[in-house]
Amino acid sequence: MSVARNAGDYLRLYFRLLGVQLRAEMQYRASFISEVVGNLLITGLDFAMVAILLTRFQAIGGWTLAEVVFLFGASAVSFSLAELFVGAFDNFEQWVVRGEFDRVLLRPLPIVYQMMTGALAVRRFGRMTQGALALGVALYLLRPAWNMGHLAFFGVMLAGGALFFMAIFILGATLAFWSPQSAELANIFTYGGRFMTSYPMHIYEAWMRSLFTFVIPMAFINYYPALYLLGKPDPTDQPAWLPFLAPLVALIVFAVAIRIWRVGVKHYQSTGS
Amino acid sequence: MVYLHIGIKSFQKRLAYRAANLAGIATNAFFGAIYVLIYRALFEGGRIVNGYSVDDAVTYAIVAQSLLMVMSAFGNRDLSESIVRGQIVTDLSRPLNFYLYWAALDLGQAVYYLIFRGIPTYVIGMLLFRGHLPVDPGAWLLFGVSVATGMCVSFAYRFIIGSLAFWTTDVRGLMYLSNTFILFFAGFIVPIVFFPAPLRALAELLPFQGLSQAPIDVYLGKTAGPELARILALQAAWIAVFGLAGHWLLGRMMRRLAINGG
Repeated sequence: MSVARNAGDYLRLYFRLLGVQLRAEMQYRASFISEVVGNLLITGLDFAMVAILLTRFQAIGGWTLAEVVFLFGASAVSFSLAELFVGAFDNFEQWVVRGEFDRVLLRPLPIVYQMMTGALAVRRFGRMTQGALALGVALYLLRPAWNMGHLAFFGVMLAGGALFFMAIFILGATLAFWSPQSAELANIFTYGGRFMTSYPMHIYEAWMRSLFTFVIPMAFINYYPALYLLGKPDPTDQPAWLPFLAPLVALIVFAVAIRIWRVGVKHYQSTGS
Repeated sequence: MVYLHIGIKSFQKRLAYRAANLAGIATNAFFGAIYVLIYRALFEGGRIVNGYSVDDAVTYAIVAQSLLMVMSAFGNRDLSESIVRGQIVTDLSRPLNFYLYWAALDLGQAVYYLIFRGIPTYVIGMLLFRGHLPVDPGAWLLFGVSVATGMCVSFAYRFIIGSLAFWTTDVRGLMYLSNTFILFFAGFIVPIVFFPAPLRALAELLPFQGLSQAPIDVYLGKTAGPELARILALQAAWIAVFGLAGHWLLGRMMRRLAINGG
């Protein structure tokens, strides 16, 4: 059952709830601002790492500072887009432990949709700003000779990456239905995944590369698309069309995540308090 | 001694979260592995950078990930939450020194993380990547002293940040800033030895090197003797400064509490 009848209803309601969230967060203006700034700085640490290491060592696995910054920026933008939409899934174990998820189940709107509006943390714009800046700097330094096709694929890469990270957030949250404590494991794939995808995939060991290409295909978030966009040689010897599978891979992973999430919801038993 | 018992209770409290700790070990080990592989790729060709070989850097990655939670590098909300929620009134009415009470809680937790998070992460990292293993018991003793000093620096600093919750009820933004500062200047993100010169000079004046770079240099056998004594003395001086500042804040806090009370 749903009170919204069509896409227009959902969209209107989404922006309405977004406004509510924003006003609620603005009630504590000083802390809102300091959180945005703090978030910008703490995510800036990852950028500092790339910048310090690559200026000290010049290159990693044949990639220069600017090229790694491009990878890093793409990963950060995709991650923050995902966080912006499904950030509530990140602390989902709290919803289960406190029984707040019951409230979601009672309302006449789709569950995932409600979760998406549940904790839209505007303060997380910090990471987005930082990722966008990194991409800007990388593109300025690299000046790749792109045509419209490249530009479109650039957008597809970012959107696909965002979808992929959303899937990971949702899968991580699903763990909480079985064991709220082990939901921390999700950090390996969310924050760990973002960390790992900030560097070129071929520097990792062969078994890891295979794991993250064919089983948990994080290499499609930014690495393979970036090989094509930056015209880098592929040390992993994959066919030249592989980068173009990225959007398809993201869609499949997302669909699988939603499926598994639904199994989790069926399995859910309230804390009963 | 009562504070020892408080520390032990704090230690025991953490024992309840076994699944969370296992997940935490897996996360630390994963991040450690990524760091190790990044360093291996960076050091390609067997070069030495600022006195660090690839083996040193790999060892650094393993030990730093093991120390991360021991040093509460991501901050700790316990004190600020207890202030915001009013729990602090009960704590203050106990016939205890409030500062030592929190020190005992904090260090009890740090010891828990040392045994149940740090050591397993370290063992996994060493088995997977074969870092440097000191054989001299004296080196282990000095490493232990350095880690203990780092824990005290961390507590003394975080007590100040946490107690600011008394003036501004929402300290999350402030904590973000403070955590950024600790993580970076401890050398948890990048070893201080790889910093650009001016940043490195600044990091070596601050006490936060005691959370990661200083103990790991002891572990690697890179600092010893008078140099180590100097670094530890610097940290001790900072602990004293933070301790005095913490006590001063506590005094003001008490006066404020008297105004609000009733």
